[in-house]
Amino acid sequence: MRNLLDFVVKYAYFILFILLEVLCLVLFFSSNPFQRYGFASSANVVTGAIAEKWAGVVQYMNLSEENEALKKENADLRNRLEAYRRSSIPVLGKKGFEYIPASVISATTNREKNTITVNAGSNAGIENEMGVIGRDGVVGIVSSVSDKYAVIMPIIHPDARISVKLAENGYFGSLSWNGRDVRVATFSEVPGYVDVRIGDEIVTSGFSAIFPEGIPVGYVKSFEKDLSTDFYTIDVELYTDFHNIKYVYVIRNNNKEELKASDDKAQKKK
Amino acid sequence: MIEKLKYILYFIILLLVQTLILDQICVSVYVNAFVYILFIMMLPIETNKYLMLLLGLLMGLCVDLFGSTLGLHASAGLLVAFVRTFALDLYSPHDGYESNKQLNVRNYGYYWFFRYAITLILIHHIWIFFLESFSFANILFTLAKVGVSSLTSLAVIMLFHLLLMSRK
Repeated sequence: MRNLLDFVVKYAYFILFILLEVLCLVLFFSSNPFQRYGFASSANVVTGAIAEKWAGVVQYMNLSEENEALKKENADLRNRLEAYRRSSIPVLGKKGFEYIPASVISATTNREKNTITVNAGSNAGIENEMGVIGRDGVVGIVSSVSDKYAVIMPIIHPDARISVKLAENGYFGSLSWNGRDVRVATFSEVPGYVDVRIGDEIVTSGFSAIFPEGIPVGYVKSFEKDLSTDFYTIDVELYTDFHNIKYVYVIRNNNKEELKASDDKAQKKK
Repeated sequence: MIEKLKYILYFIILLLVQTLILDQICVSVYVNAFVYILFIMMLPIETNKYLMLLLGLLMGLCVDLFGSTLGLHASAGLLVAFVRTFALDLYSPHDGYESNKQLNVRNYGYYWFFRYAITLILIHHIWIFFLESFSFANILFTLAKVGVSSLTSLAVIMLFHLLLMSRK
């Protein structure tokens, strides 16, 4: 016992270091990408408020550029609305997808695990695992939320998986990121007999209830067929420019509860 | 008291420069600059070693909270604070360190600071990047990141060291 005490006293500094280091590593490895509590991420009140203030200062510098982009998007949406009015597609119920606007207050792009923090949270109706899109296409998935802020796991995060398909023929698979190029993601699980061409558009599949169907993601940059499995590995050039992302829309699926309920029912019947 | 205030100021400045400016800039996936460890490098020579561990941990934890990387920078800050003592011993000048002289280039020279800084930067970057990727599969990619980012960090740390160091 005395020996043990001597040992502890002698190496107290080293023991403290090891204990704290283990604690840090436990925190690091146990932190799920979908944080249940916003305060442990950049969505917490203090860092969120500081980042928001700073983003406000920086924003003035490219205000006119942003204005121009918003104008363009507005015009595009008006055109689409017009086309929609003319079409005779019946509207399915009142519920559907709802878009919640938010401004980006902080974003990393050169990390292995990138994040985007936005200035809207649960008070604005944002919940975990909601889809997020930007002006040009899909951005990512909400991974943690506090009252006023939310953290988004973008496509350029190794844990992000998004269900996508080839717009032309509907063959689907999942989109993931390899950690190298911010503009390129990998689309896998497309069978080898499908006709894939460079430039083909990739859109969301709509299978996951996170994104509506048909939201643009990117286009085929190059592809390769794995001869042993006969599946394609497709490099997708992303439409969203993560270097320059100022505002996003978080997608709330108002049918999600119903979908879940019917899903549960089906499960029970089995 | 004024001394303590100065180091609190260093802490805040370096934390904000790291999280609000450096973390938001993207040149390439290879270029990551980490300036926050300069705080640990510049702490006075007579700092209690337990306090130093806690300050390293605290700095890392704050960087983590801004970047949603809970544990990553906390563990790295702690490691740098731990290794600092050994690095200082390793590069100790002939007549040792003087407790009333700040650890800066004016007191100990550029060559001394360069060796001291690059040692801690390399340890910090190797730790961060291997922990982040947590595999040796992309070892060349990770090593390239360590190399390029270390040089970038060294330049940024040098700049802020010159800006922050005591005037006399």
